[in-house]
Amino acid sequence: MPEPRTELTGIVLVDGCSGDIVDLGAGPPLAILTAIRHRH
Amino acid sequence: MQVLERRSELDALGATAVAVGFSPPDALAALAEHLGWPFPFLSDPERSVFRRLGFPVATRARVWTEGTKALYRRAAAEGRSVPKPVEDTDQLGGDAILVAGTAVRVFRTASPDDRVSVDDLFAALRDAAAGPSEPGAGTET
Repeated sequence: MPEPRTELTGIVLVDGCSGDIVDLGAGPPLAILTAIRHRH
Repeated sequence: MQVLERRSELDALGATAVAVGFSPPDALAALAEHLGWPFPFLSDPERSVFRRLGFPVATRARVWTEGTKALYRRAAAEGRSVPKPVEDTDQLGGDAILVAGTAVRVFRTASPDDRVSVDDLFAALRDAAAGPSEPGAGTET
């Protein structure tokens, strides 16, 4: 059985590279999201 | 960040990539530059994405598995230095396929050495690009 889809509505984050505010719930159309653990 | 090695496949699918970390934006900008990461690198200090997608904080025993230790041993054997972590080492990462603001596939990890393969990740991306196999498939009820 497919897993439930998870809406990312309401998650608004700062892009460290550009400084832009990114609303994950508004896009992008198709993407891989990779969440890293921590920095060294 | 092996995703970068398959940039042409991303482009062919009309897809992009987004990295998320819980460090401050300037620290992630430095990391993105170090890695040559050309996509957004989002700062999530509240770990909203981690919680929403179910990427857990593990116990110390689950973090320091034999596989995790092997990763560090291999780095040392290859002469790569691995500085001490500066942040919460118990927070696990993960991956997901996003379609217009919705995670249609989520790959969680049980330990740091338990990451989905890039092949499986791109297979899921291709599936998502092809669209749902049946109306409403996977829709949350």
